[in-house]
Amino acid sequence: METLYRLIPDKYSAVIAARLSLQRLSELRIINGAPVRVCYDGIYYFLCQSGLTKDKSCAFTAGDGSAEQIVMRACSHSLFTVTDTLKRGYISVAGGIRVGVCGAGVMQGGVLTAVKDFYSVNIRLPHEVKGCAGVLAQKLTCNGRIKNTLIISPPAAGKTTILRDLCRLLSDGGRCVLLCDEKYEIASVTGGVPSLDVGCCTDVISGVDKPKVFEMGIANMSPEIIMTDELFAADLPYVRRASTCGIAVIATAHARNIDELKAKQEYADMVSHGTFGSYVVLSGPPLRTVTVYEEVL
Amino acid sequence: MSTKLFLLFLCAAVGTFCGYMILLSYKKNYSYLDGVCGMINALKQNLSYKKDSVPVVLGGLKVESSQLQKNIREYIGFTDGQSDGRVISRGFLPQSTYDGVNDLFEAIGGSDESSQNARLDALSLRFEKLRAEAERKYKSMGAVAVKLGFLIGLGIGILVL
Repeated sequence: METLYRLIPDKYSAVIAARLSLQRLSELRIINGAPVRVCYDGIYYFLCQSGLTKDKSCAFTAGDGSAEQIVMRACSHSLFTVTDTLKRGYISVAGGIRVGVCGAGVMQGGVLTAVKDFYSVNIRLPHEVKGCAGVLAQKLTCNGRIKNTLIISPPAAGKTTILRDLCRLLSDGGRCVLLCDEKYEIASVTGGVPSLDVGCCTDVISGVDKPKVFEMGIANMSPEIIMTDELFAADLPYVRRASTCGIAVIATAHARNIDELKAKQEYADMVSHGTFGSYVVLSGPPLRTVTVYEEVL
Repeated sequence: MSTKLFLLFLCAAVGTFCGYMILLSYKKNYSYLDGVCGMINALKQNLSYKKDSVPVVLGGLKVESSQLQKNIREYIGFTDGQSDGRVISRGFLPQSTYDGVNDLFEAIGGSDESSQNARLDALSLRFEKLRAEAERKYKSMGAVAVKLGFLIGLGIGILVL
């Protein structure tokens, strides 16, 4: 996790390296002038000299320019490389780290052209839990075919981790998987090489919008399965088109449960049309349960 | 007689050496500015297609000038978080070149693609001018300095004798 230590001030990295386990650390939240928080085992604490604390008075306080310093380090002092993603609120860093960024938008003719005066950052660390999708991979297979599957959970409940492992298992099982890694956090390809294990038969398209990946992938890569993270309403027509081309789609979406998902009109239509054959609901920490629904009415 | 000839030779050699050192200083300055122009071109080319980060582009450059190599290392060290502030050493650089180089290292990477292109274009013009001037000095005045050094050394030798 050299990449993480390169992003943050030395005093934070020294404490994290000496007192915390990176496997249990999932987020580091830094707000200018506020105490530094970390998400450790799914619970938020303040970061202090002795490790973790619930008392904010003894926590490290971020300096006024901390967010900007982290943003500049995250993009290697090359803002032009991240302008597009910054406008969507994040920067992807090597190793699958995603830095969520808040600041002031610069608007021109109603269009967001840049982000300035960075206020806070949320550094999210990827976790590779090999085997966590083992049972799920079997359940999603029916007569040798993979069912269209939507993995749903609230943020930070492990959607990406389970999707990555599912991708690895299906790919290593010999299936042609096309992975749409829009935010570089599933495979985290750096210099043409994935940093995280997504299987030996996985084609990865990174940093490209989902609609474009569906279009390019179906036309050129003949995948059996397309896997993608964080599906939004605008992506749904492409999912439908892929599923009518004989390609299975496995995707994730934000919702606490299926009822919450159906509360969004576009998803309700999709559920009623039976676009997805399986729904996998993940609950967040501390229980972290995985429930598979075969039929949803 | 042989001692006198030797002293004469010595004076001429010292004069030529001094002239040669002036030639080398012109060459160093030209080589530095040529490297900077190459660096700006590399950044512009990369920006038009690959859009790699600045340290990646600079790290892959082959630069002749040792001073520019040092400045690039200092900049990459800063972007890697090895130093808190961006410090570019001046070395032998004249103030005008040093100011330009500081402006260059401050400008690169600090904006979006179109602003970056415009800034690099402006800096490119500035450094092309400085390079042309340095090249003129190196090619014309450098050779003159060597010849003049030899002649002055010879003249001093004759006067001394």
